[in-house]
Amino acid sequence: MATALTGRGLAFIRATPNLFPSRFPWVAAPQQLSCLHTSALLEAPRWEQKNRKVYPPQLPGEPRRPAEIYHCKRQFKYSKDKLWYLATMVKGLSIDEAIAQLEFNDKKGAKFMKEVLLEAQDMAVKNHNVEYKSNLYVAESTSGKGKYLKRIRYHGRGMFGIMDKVYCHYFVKLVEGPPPAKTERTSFDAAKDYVDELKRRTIIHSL
Amino acid sequence: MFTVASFVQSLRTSLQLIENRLLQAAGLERQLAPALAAHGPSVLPQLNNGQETEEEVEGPCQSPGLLDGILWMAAPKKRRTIEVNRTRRRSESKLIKLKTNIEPCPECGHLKQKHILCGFCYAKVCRETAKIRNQIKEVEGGPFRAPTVETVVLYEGETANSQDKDKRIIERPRKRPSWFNV
Repeated sequence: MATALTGRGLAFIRATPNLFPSRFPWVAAPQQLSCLHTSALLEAPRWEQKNRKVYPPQLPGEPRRPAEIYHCKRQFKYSKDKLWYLATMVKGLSIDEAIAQLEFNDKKGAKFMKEVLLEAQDMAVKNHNVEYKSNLYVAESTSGKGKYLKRIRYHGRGMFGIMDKVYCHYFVKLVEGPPPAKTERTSFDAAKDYVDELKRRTIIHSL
Repeated sequence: MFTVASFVQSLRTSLQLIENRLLQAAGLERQLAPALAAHGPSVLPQLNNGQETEEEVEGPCQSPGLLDGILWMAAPKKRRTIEVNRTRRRSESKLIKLKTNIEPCPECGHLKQKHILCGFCYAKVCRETAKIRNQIKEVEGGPFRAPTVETVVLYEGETANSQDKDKRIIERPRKRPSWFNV
C-alpha cells in the first residue's frame, strides 16, 4: 500500500482536495483573510463547509461571539449580473426587511433569494443556536457564475454565434444581532482617505 | 506606371460613384453628371468601357469604404474597459431602490404594499367566490341559464330577508365568513 502512494499518486491526491473530506473540526484562523479575490471564496473552502467551522471555547471575559450562518443556492437559471443588483440591495439589512423587500420585487431572482433567506433563517434557529429568528442580519450577499450551457444562435449569411445559457449561484451569510448602523461615506471622507494613503507611503532603498 | 495610375483612377471613380449614390439616397444633392466624364484619357480603353457600361462598379475596397464614408453609421472607436463598464452598470441610478411602502395587513398579518390589496386576503376571497360560482353552476345546470333577477348568497342558519324576496338564493353549507358582510 505504501509503495502505491508515491510520486504521481501523492500529487494526484494533493491536487484533488475533496477526495478525502476531513471530518476534523476546523481551528479558527486568528487573522482574517483580507484582500481575497472573490473567486477564491468558491474554490476552497466551499461556502457550504464554512458552517462546519468550530471556534475554540471563549474565555470568561470575552464578549459573546455572534452566530454566523452560511447558506447558498447553486446553479439556478438566472444571470449573475442581474442577481448582483438584488444581492447588493439586500446587503446589510435585517432579515425581516430583506425578506419584505424581496417579496415585493418583481425580478425572477428575488424569488430564489427569498427561498434561500427563509431556509437560512430556519437553519439558524434549528442548528446554529440562534434564539430569535428576527435577530439576524445579512452580513454578506453575493452572486456567482454557474456552469453555462452553450447553444448556437443563427445569424444571417451563414454566420453563427455561440449563445450562453446562463446559470448562477447565490451566497448569503447571516449574523446574529441587530444590523450595524450604516455610516454615510461622503466624498470628503474618500478624499481624506486618499490623502492619508499618499502621506503613508514610504520610499524604500532611499537616502 | 500605367496600370498604377489606372488603378488609382478606377478607385477614385468608384468611390465618387458610391458617394453620389449615397447622396441620392439621402436626397441631399441633385443628380450630377456622371463622374467618368471629368477624368482624363489616361484610363485604358478596356476599363473605360467597363465603367461606362456597368452600373455597379465594384472597387476593391468598397465595403470598408462604406463604413468610412462621411454620412455612414457611428461605430465604437475603442473597447470599453471593464472599469468603465462597471461604473456605468453600478451607478446610483441603476441600483435597485428600497421600497418604503411595505406594511403588515391588519386583517391577516401578512405583508402588503400600501396601495395594493393584501395577497393572502385576496386569495382567501377568491377561493370562497370560486365555491359560490360552483354552487351557481349546479343550480343553473347549464350555460346561458342565468336568471334576470339578482342573486343572494345565504350561509348556514340564515333565512331570506324581506328585501331578498324576489332574488335568487344560493345556499352555501358553511358558516358565514367574517369578512363577508350581509
